[in-house]
Amino acid sequence: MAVKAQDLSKDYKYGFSDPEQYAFKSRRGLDREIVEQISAYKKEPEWMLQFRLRALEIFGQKPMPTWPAAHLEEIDFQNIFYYVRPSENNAENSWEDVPSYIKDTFDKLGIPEAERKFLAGVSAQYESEVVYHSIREDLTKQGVIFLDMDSALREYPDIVKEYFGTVIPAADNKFAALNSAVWSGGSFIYVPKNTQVEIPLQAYFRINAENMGQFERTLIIADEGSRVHYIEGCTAPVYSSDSLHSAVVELIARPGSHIRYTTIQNWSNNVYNLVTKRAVAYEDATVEWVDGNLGSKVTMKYPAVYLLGPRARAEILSVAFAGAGQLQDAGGKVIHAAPDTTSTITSKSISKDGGRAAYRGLLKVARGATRAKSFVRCDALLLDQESRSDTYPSIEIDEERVDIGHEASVSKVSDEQLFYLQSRGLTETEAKTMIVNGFFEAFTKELPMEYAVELNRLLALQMEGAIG
Amino acid sequence: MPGEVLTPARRELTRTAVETLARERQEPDWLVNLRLRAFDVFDRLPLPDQRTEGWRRTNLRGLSFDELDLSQPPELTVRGGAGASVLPLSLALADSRLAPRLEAHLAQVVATDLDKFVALHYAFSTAARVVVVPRGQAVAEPLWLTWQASGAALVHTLVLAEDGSDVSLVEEFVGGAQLASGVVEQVLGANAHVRYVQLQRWAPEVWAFSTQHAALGRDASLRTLNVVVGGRLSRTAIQTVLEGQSAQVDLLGIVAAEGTRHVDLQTLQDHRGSDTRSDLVIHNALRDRSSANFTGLIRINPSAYRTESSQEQKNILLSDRARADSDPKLEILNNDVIRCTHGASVGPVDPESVFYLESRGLDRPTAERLIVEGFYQSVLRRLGAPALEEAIWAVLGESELAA
Repeated sequence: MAVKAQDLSKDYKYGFSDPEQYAFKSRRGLDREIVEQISAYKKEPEWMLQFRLRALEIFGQKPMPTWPAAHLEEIDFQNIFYYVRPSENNAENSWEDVPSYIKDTFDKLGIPEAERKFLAGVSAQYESEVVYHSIREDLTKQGVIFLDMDSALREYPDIVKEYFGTVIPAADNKFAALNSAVWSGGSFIYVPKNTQVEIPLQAYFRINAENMGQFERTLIIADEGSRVHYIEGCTAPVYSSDSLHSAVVELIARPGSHIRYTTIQNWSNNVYNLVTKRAVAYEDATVEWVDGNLGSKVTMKYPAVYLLGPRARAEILSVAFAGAGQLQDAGGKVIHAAPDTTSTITSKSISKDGGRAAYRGLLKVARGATRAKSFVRCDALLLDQESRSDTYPSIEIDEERVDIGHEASVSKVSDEQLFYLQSRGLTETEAKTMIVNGFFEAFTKELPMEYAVELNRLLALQMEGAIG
Repeated sequence: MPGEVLTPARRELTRTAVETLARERQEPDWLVNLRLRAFDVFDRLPLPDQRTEGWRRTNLRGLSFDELDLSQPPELTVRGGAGASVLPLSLALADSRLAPRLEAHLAQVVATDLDKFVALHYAFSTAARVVVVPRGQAVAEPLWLTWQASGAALVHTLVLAEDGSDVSLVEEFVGGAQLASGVVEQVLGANAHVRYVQLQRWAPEVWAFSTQHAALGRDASLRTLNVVVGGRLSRTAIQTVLEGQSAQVDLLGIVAAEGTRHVDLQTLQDHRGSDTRSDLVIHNALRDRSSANFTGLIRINPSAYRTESSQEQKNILLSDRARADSDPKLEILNNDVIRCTHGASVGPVDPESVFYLESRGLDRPTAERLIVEGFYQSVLRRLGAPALEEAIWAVLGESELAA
């Protein structure tokens, strides 16, 4: 028998929350005064204040995206805290200085463990400000900058000013405008020419206060011939009223560079996750988005790559798991704007317990992007009768000499597969979990092992929740 | 307008004109009301623009209703189809057995308020034919209707294929209509089998709109083929509702575009009954600065168990100024799906095939022509009626399909 939707949240692994202790918290709501307050509190340069205020205006003017299934009209922008600062001391550079209640949270998330073993640098976003941050010495020696965005704005104002908002202008969409007005935290990475960052850089993100929006802003610049892999994992505690997460992520891949950006997101079931992610790739550069979407109430996220230089390459791998009451509207966009550019988009989605997963994509080949090659592959798995899967790929081709293909399929777990696995001694749940893991394998095999293990555990948890 | 002299036959696009037209034709009240409702919709709706849902890639700039000549309905030539009856609507209404069925079906398959062009159609159409294929009747020879137009072409075709009937129907559109807004409504009874072919061969300046909906009963099958080789802008909206258990649809399309022609195909495969199958295959070849859009949706409703469904939409671009957009969409609300796939592709003529044919001594234009012909033939063959396929190929000829 199927256990109902709400029961899942009880088992939610990271569904704890700490008592709130904040050094500074803006009042609820959004207006000019709040934006000025945030900027003043952070002692930002004048141009950033002006950027924020212009974005706020744009936010006010832009209509709400109308898509009935997402119920975005339920978001009450005046009932959100736009800025929360957890403690007085920012950017602790050693673990000892981190306040103990925050440490507790990180312990539950396993950060120190992961750091000792594996991490090059940790920039864990607790609420709206980065509180913990370290970079291994060799990275610093290589000239790699890995900071939270607020520190970067203070320490490297010229680089930030040059690139901030250039890939995703505030006017791009309503939620990008909102982020531009109230952003806080996020990561800033600059990798110098011909520098290979061998180990992934990683940050944890977390929402901890009821009704508190999180508007982090990430900017990664990979200079010519460099290589970097950035990983973000998101968890959030379960709360009764709706939270909003609206991030903006900008990637700039200079000629010959390689950026991989991996996300595993596991927001709790009340979070609206509306994220704008976009990369530009110049000559011979490669950008890879590896994007895993579990959890949240509504996710609308379409990582994009603009291939602006010859032979630039994009790869988007997106997986989504939509459980009870969830809408996963994910996908990818690739714009081919130069000759000999190539791209692949692979999407895998699972819908279960009445969840709804959608692939929404755009593949565009501009005139002049001769010999562009692209393949889009979407697979969907429906686990029960109540769930729904939608596929909306959009293909716009303005150039003759191209090779464009798209394929999609929808399937269910076949009785034959289940019967076979059960005949080998597995329970139905184990069998289904195994099939789901197999379905997602293309994604998990791209992850560092720790993440793959965690993802498989999360999937197992999601599967157990449903089958009693 | 002061000073302007109207020819007596010229009809204005006014409510009074609709009333006058219906009165002259002595139409029953329900039909008069239907026309008036449609006119109100036409009057109310703005011309769709590129912000209108479903019209995003259709540019109607330059289209005007001002000079529309509604006084000359297109002329019809009927060939073949012994066993089926083809009646003008006015005659069909006079048939006391048929009249109630017309009231039940007319404008029920394609609603009057679907869009501005459909509304215009219902308000002013005087070229309506009712095709009835009696129960159990297998019509051996294809029924071929050729419409020749010079003014506005508002052709309505209502097909009532009764239980167990079998028919092939070809509608061919030729001439220089100012604007064409046709509606095809097909009602297929249980175990009825229909092949419906529309050959859109309008002159190059024609704005051509066609809306084709079909409802299928249990075990019914429909193979529909749209060949679009004419018009300035051509928009064809096809919806098939697989209502009855085990109903089957093949939705086929062949598009040859040249010059600056824009061809837009909008399709819906709506699975409602269980054990239904629908397969869509649309092949476009685009020359010069022509462009094509395909927007197709497969919807598998919660009630549709064991569905098989697919979309295949391919584009060959024969010029570097041609453009193709493709939106094959799936909405799946039932997990008991046997097969649901879609594929789309865009590219030039396969260079390897060209190379092969050239190595056999053919010149490049000939090689490309043969490849494009094969590309079309692979769709045509899916009609599953060799004699009909040959007749269609003969009509289209090389000039239209593979210039």
